[in-house]
Amino acid sequence: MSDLLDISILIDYQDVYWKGFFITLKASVFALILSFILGVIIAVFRISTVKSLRWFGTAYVEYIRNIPLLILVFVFYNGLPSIGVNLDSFMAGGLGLGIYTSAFIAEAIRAGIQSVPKGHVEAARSSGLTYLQTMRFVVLPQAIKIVLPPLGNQFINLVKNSSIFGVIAGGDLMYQADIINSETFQTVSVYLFVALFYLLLTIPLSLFVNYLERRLARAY
Amino acid sequence: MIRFHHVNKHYGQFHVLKDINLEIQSGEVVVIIGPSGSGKSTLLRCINRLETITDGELTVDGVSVGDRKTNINELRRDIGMVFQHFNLYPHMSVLKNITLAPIRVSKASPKEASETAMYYLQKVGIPDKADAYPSQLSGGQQQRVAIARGLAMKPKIMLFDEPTSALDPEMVGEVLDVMKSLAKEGMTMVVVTHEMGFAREVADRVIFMDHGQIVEEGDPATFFTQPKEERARQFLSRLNH
Amino acid sequence: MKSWKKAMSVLVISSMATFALVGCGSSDSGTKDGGSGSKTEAAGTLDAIKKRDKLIAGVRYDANLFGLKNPGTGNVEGFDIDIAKAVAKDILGDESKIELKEVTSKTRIPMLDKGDIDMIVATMTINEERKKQVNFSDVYFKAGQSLLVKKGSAIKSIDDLKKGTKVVAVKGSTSAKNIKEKAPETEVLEFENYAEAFTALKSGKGDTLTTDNAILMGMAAQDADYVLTGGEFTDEPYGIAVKKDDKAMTDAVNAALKKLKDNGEYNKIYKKWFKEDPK
Repeated sequence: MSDLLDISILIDYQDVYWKGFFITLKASVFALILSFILGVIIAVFRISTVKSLRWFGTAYVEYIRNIPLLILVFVFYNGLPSIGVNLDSFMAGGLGLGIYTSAFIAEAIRAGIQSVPKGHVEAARSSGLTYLQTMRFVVLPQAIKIVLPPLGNQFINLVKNSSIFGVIAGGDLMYQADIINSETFQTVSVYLFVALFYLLLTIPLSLFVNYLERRLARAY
Repeated sequence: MIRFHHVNKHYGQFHVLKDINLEIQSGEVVVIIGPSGSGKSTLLRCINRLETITDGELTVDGVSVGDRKTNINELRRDIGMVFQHFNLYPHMSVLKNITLAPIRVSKASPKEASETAMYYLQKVGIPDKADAYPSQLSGGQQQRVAIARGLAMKPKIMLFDEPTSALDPEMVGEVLDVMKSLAKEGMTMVVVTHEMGFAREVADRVIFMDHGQIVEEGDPATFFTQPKEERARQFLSRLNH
Repeated sequence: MKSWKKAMSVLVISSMATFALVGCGSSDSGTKDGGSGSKTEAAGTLDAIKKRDKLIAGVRYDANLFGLKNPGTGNVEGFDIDIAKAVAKDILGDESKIELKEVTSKTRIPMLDKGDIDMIVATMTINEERKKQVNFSDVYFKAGQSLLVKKGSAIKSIDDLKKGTKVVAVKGSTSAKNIKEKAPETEVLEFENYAEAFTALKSGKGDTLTTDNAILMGMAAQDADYVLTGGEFTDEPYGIAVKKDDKAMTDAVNAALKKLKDNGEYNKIYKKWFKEDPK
């Protein structure tokens, strides 16, 4: 067994793995926050009564989610300098990943909001609640139950997709694994160990989402 | 109290309300009847601007409903509404359903709002259900909670949009009883319903609508025994078979 | 409590899956035990080539002058390509009996190990570490690592690479490793291939790009804004790599190279691409 999975790689290169781990963590947190904020805004645009906002929201979602993430990140990294904006790999990767994921999050949130019966909104509005109060007290608490599972999936995907940093010299787990591999040529061991570091991020995230789901299911 | 003056409404090409002229006095109970698709629910929903009118003038308590300058949320505080499908908030207890608007809109204290809520739950006969969730209640009980929720804002007008249509027959009575006692207390009520017994017994005035028009109106005794218009006669004879 | 049970079972299952994967992966990749001499099945590449009557060579598609895909014709052209074809001609008697597959610094050794390619002719520097993984032929090109900078750059030689200088390189290349040793305080940004590395330099992500002078010459030929600077600071002898311990194949490649040099064909190919005689 030890012959197949060379544990010495993990020991010799643990500093490199951890360095990549923390950059992946930082990048994921940055992109996650960005994607959530953008996702909520775009979702609100998508269900707005203002036609131009709705149009913008739809265009945003359809363009962003139908482009490969790699291209989006390349554009931010290599394309923006031509208009005078030179982002480092963290910003370019974070923006690319955050914007990419926000399109999926916007769709999940929109679907959740639209799953709340229109009658509940009418009841709330006819009792004098404003649009924002209706959203806050009536629609969103119901929508969150529907939104949470797909949202959790998107966040887990985001962590895994952060491996895109590897192609723009982002210093993340994937990048470090490539470097370790080029020095050791132990392809299988190097990448299986890096998978363990990804699990260290995604499994707790997964369990946390499951926990929230169960808590909400109990609510009513 | 409520005044429609040459009100029209179009949905695209479709002329839903045609030249509606109607005045409803304070304390009056008006029942609107007519075949489905005749525009009676739309007319009701215009009163608190769940639907907008295309032209004409509609005022409630002297305030123009359609005017952009009108604070619609303020106006809606004075108009309670009860829906066919109850529309209780499923994630809130009965008490929370009733106190949400008083606390958030009228800025009542939670304690004050709870007391008011309990008073109206008492009135609709289910004070023991205050902590239950809507899914734990029967349809009749849910609709009574919805009425209590409307009343808790202490409105000047109550609108009822087919409040018994979604109920099992054995539960219709308990909801109508609550509405009857409300009428006796002098509440201004506009009711869209298919319950002719209720109309005959409680209404001060019956409005018959067809194809977006008010075809006939009058006191229930006259309307149900001697309808003037052919369409009203046909509608009533179909109901009796 | 229940969630912890679930967490444990997830971990157990995933680690089992991991070991299962290792079990499968090792049987065909076998990069680990390359040096132990246990790979008797590694021999026989030459027989396989003759049997299928075609030589499969791993070459670069992104290195101007060595192996570059011509966007107009779709053909891959360069010094490495012509050398590979000449080897095919020597072994199979026809230079068209060759199939080219794209490799990068990162993929070339795994592809050779897996048997996807018979040999690597891809600007590959001979060094001790790689000798543990593959067999090298004799040197077929003498390169040296250098620096590419934008015209007017303050960087004139490797001594100008200081703390804060960003050096662009390619993942898995010797030059990336060399620069980390020779200028340890610089920040090295490593990319997938030469095209991406050159793009990164052009979009201002780094101050200089380092790799073998031969490849840098190809880049400078593409974009006149960029020039080589500082001369060569390493020796990078290129070799053709074949499977570890496959002596028959190694000998066949060496014999082919020797013939090329003896009959003057090598000089012709060299001059065709570098416009000068071999040093």
